[in-house]
Amino acid sequence: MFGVIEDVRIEALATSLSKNRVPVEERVGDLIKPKRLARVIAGTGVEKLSIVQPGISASDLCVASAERIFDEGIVKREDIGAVFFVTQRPDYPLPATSYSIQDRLSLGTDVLAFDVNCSCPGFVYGIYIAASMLSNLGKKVLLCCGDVTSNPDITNPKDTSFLTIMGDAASVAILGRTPENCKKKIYYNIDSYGDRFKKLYEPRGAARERKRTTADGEMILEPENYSMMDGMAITDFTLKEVPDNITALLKYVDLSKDAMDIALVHQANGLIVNSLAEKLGMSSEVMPFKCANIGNTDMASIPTAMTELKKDGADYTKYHTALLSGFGAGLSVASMIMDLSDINILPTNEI
Amino acid sequence: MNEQEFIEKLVDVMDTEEELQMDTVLEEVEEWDSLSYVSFLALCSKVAKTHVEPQEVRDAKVVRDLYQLINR
Repeated sequence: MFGVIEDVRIEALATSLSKNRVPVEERVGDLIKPKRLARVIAGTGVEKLSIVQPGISASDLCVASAERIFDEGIVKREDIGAVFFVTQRPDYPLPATSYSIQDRLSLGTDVLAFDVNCSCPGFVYGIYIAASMLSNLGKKVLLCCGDVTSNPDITNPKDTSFLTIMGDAASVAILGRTPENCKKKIYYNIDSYGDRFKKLYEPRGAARERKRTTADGEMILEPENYSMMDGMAITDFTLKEVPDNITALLKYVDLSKDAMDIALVHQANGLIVNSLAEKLGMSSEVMPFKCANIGNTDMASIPTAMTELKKDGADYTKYHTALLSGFGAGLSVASMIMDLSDINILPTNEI
Repeated sequence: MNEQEFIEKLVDVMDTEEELQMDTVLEEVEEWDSLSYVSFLALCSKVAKTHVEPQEVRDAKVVRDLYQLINR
């Protein structure tokens, strides 16, 4: 689905992740032999993972990120008219975690608050939702996104396909209408492939089937109690439907891939990002992989790459034409082209 | 791509020290695992003339089967 949203922009962006970076060898222990592990790490390009201390949730990381933006005086709390949290790991099954975020950030009561269950395309979906809301919302939108998946009730402690790549992080972005004299457009192309929803899903723990636990309430180590991924099907998707979606978006805006100042794609792993860059004919400078010491942070991975770029000295005033593309569970791919040249972006923060 | 070039690329994909031949049985190569499937799919995405389905990669029995996927 193509479209354009006018006169809105991302005003501020911040990411929080863990000070604790665990080497992949430590995370997998003896589940993988050293020779194979070396191949895995060479393939994924991920050497260390951001793993939070027990008790920290994604919403805590969101609150920390938002507080930094308010502390810097970039945006005021009173300016926020809506807050929503894109996550697959809310603090509680209900209510939406956005209410707790509203409370912790002392936002006014005259706000909308809700959660969005979305996976790795989540940041781009989040921008779409926030930007669309701004057509009528009198104030700004606080978009929160992230997952903490590192605890063994969430990530199968025997599933090396996730253990070797998943990291914890959360980001917040504040979107608002552009000033009178400043015209901006956000172009998007979003596709969904529900026929493949089982290629990356968690079978149990909701309406269809309960989790299976022991008599003492411990999780039984069965793959169906956790997220399951068909690696080849996902790779196939990221090397076919994803570049097709991006190419179609470029055609829609009548721009060539060479017109992209920066391409911020979901940091699934190094192989995927490099292969996607090659497929689209873009260099690794234009489409960087920034998460070698962080891991795949799901819906926060694009903003994490953005704040890591900032931390490494990137000059965002040069990014007039930025391509964003998130892709993952659904399966879905959401791509956008937007102007990031006046974004107020903070370097990545660690807690 | 000729057979020799293909074998060199495949050795790279699998990161193996084994000497591969066209009739090498894939399941006898230690490094022919899920990691290699994914790297091989990425290779196909670059060099194959037609789209290669993951199932076709899984169904391949010998190196020649993979070569045919790239070249058909």
